[in-house]
Amino acid sequence: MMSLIKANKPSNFFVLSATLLWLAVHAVYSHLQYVAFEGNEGAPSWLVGWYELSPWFIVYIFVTVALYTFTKIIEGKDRPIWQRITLHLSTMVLLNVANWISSTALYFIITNVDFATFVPFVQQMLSTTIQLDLLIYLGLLSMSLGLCFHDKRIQEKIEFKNLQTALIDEQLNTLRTQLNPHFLFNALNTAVSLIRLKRDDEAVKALAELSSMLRKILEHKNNSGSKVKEEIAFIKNYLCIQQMRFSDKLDVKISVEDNCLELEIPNMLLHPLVENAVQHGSQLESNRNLVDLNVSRDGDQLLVKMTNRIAENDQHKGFGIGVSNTKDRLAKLYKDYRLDLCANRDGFFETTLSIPISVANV
Amino acid sequence: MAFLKQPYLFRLVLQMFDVLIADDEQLARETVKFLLAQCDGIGTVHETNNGKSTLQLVQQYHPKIVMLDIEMPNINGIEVAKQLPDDISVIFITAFSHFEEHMSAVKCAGYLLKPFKDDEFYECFEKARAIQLELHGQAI
Repeated sequence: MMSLIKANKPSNFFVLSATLLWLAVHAVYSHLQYVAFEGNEGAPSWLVGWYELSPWFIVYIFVTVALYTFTKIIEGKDRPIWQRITLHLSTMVLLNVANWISSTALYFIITNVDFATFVPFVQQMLSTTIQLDLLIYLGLLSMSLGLCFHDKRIQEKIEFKNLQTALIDEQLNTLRTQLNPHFLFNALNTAVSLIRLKRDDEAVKALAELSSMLRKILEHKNNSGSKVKEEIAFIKNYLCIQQMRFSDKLDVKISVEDNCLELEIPNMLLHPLVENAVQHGSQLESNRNLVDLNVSRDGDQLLVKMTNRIAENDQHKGFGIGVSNTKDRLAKLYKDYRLDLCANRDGFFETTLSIPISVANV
Repeated sequence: MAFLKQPYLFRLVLQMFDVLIADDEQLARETVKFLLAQCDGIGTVHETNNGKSTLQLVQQYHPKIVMLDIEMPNINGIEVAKQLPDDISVIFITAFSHFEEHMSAVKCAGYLLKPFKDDEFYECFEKARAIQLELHGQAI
């Protein structure tokens, strides 16, 4: 309970405002009383009137602060409406009783009235001021509620903004995993080199392949799937550019069964695997790399098999960010999937992926 | 008259320098060769696609200027440069600016960020040639 109160403590600014408000109300009320009784016999001076009325107002400063704290606690959590109403009502009873008792006690102390008359005094006071006190209390309650909702809205706005930033970051991240910036530089450099060497036709081809890749990345909706044939076309674009760069050491073989072409698979699922295969192959010194990609269907499973050559001393410093991203995505998308990446039989690296078709095509 | 026995020394007398291009990308090697063909004072141009053979070719042919790619199979360009004799001028050619900080650890005549303009290439190459002329002009 104490920690809850501590956590919901109003700001110093709120406490100061409440103090000033009640001091001002106190002063105005004292003045009105003074004016009303001015000239009457035995009427107290302004200062004495102010002093004797102070208990009824000073205690309200604490009531206001306590009420705001309790309101914050009650509204801080999502509670059912009946619970909220009960909590507000009990707070109301508690605070008002405390208010009446403490302000009367304070009045008795500062005016030296005998405490023997305490109970009848409270009873008499309640019969005259209870409506006014409850009215003031309700006013304070609605103000506190208003402040709470205002706070909540600001909090929500901040959260919404944070969420938006996170979303943009996420989108940028996807873009980065889809198109390795190194590859983009290399592709542009390839086009520049071809133009320099006056091999115009090839330069045109390189730029055309690059722009179809960019088109697919930029125009595709992030969360939707993509057909196998579109994915394969993208991979072919990619491999075509890589072959222009490494014409002396990269061979490509792609075969896709006809009944797989129209199947839906998650967007950009295969490309990182191909990129990984090409990158490992680029470590070869003399041998040509052969990337052999096979897509077939086995019942309700889509099978993707790829082999590529790797250098004998290929240091397997884990896999690139692309492959680890693909693993994350697969784990999120499917309960049942298989992705094996392993080096086997003399200098070949094998990548096997199998995913259920039914889920992919929902 | 040692230069009569060693052809590379003979070319030095003529102020011609052999160049070695080390890049794992064939297209990049062709581009550099193409640009070198338009420079004066070039002797033989050798080429290779990996770090290990770069070191072997340097021992075998004593090129005076080496154009080094950084991302290469087996030994990367920066490691290669550290093992080269001091009197060789190295020009790094790379697509990635983040290697810049590593390059400061190695003595080099310059570096080119791909894709580069023709002028940038010639300026860099002339600088390397000037360094070699100064070195060998006095030695012979």
